[in-house]
Amino acid sequence: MAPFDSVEDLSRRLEEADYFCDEPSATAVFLAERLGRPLLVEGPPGVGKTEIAKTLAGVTSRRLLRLQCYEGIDESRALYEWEYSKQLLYTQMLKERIGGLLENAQTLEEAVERLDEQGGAFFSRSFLLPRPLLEAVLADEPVVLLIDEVDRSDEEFEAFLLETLGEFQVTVPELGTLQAVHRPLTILTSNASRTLSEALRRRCIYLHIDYPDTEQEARIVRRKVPGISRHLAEEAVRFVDRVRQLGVRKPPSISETLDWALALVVLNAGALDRAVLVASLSALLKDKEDIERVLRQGVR
Amino acid sequence: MIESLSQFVADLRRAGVRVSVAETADALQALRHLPLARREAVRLGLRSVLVKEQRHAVVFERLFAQHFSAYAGSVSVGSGEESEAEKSAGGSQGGVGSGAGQGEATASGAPRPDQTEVDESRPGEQPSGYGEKAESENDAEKRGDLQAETEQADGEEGKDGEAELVRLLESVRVGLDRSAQETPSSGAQNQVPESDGADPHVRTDLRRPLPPDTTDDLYEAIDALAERLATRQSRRYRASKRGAVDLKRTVHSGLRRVGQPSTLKYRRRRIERRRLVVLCDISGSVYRVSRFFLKLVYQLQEQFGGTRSFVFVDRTVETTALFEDESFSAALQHLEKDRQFNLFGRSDYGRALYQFYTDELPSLSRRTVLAVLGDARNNRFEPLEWVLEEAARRVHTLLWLNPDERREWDRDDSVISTYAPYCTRVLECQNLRQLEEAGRLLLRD
Repeated sequence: MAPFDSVEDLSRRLEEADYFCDEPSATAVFLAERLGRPLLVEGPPGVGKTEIAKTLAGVTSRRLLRLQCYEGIDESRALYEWEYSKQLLYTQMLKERIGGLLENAQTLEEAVERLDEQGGAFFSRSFLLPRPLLEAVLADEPVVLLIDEVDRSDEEFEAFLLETLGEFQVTVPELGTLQAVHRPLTILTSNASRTLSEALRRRCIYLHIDYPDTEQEARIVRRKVPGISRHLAEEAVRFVDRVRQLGVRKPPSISETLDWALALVVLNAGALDRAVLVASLSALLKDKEDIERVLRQGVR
Repeated sequence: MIESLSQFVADLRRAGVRVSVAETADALQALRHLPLARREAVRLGLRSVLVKEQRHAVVFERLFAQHFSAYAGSVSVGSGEESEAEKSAGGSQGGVGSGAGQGEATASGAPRPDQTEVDESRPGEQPSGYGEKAESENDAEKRGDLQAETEQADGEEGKDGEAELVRLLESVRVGLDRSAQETPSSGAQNQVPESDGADPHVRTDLRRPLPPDTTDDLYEAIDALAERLATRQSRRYRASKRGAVDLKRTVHSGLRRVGQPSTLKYRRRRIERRRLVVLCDISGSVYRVSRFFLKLVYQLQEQFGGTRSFVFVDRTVETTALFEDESFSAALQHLEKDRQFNLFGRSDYGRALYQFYTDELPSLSRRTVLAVLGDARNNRFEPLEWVLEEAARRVHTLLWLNPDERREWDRDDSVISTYAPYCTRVLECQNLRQLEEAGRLLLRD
């Protein structure tokens, strides 16, 4: 049963959960779900790419499984590992039982054969440590699978992802092939620090999220920072917009705008005068040179 | 409607947006789930399925506007035709539009004043994208057709629905094939010019003198290009069965065994990064191409374990320090003005290569990628190709980029064929697309 009736339905439910979703985003998410394709969300950091997955999980009451990618991430970190310590422990505790099993074995060969018959015991699912991808496959109920910052991984990992996201089928040599009962709603995020492989991009529905316009950002600020006055929110957002246009080394993202707005409220700021800026800019700009530059240029 | 989609996809491909058949099928599927009466929904839906890189969005918007401009959406123009078309739209997403007034009203009735998209239609305005004219019968028919078809497909269960989809796919494929064969003059739609809409300067001839705006655009395009070409290396060492102990991997595999390293893992030989050496002819019009190549090299520096650059006309001068110390534009200024780089005289490839070779021989190794950019027009001096042969033997790859058109090679005083046998590849290099190809080859393992 589909979780959303229409694009509008999806949009409304996300807004109710405090995530401002414009029509392109809602359309992309809706289609990804309907067509059973993963959604690739690309854009600068801090614009709400990860948030959309979290919010979706919330509004659909699905579990969120998160795989955070990093440079050098490999399959096993994404799929599964064997809980070796547990296997050892159980072997120790069951030593006598095992001994009993092999008691009447005449030859070593026979003993090994008997062990083989029981082989499944120590490589069963009770000793399997599933990582997010396998968890998604094994889940009894539909889940949301978030593969975060996939651009930090490398091409080999992408190829592996491609394979898995296609069929949602994982082969564990000792257990056989496991097929997902429910196709997870998969969301991949990328900061566009590098271009992802074409094969992966083709497989996904694509959504690009950019910095919002001032009107939109002001709405987000007013919604997420409760104590702020309408006037201050608008002034703050206009300021941030000018800072971004200034071409600073680390342009502030929406999350930084929100942090800064909160700082302004905490400082009881009425207007954006120099004193206030000096006190609060570090919440907005994370680079020393940027702060100095903004203060120097008297951005108004 | 399906024909329109096929033509649309064909035009996208012509403009450089490489849409696959699978994605076209996705597009069809997507249309089944979208309120077809709303142009905006169709636009966004198709975009999320067909456009996989942000830089293609502009082309998509332009072509969508062209192809679907007569696509009347939810505007209540009030004509009889309109309401008939609405009727044929039937139950799917009913209620969108006609009762709701302004163009952008959604099915839920709430207007969306916070559209951040560049809409052709805004609330309060007659949607211009739809055209003031009433929906033509033809289009209503087309839309009606698709509605009917998709509804039919929807209505049928399981296998039948699939068969329907297969049939739709087949007609898309046929449509695409046909569009591909059509000559540019045919077709009612405005034909897309044979340029890459995504990067307007991809085919600009770099050899010609260009206005500063274009040059700036080109440099920017090269920046973007370099970013695309940059790859990420995940490992610094190769796994091996012998050699030095790889502590990281040993400990890591030991973690799985309760922290007891039971097996030693080895590593061997750093995965080598290549060193790049470029030699650029800066005489006459070749210089105009060289500067763009130098920009690309400048941007790709980090992909190599060391980059050196040289320029030459009849002798060679090293420019590595110049590009290291300054920003690219400043460096280029120096190159154009400083006396030491003012290499007058006629091109003498043999002499320049010989000088380069004797000076730089020690630094040419198996890890070196050597790129030469020049038209090999030697003014009938001695080509001294044996120098190139020697150099080629020492380096990993020797790439020659020739700004001349292929048919000009070996004409007049061009001796490119004398050099060609010793080169790994000889490429034409006149525009950004070819420059991109060159960049790709430089980075390839």
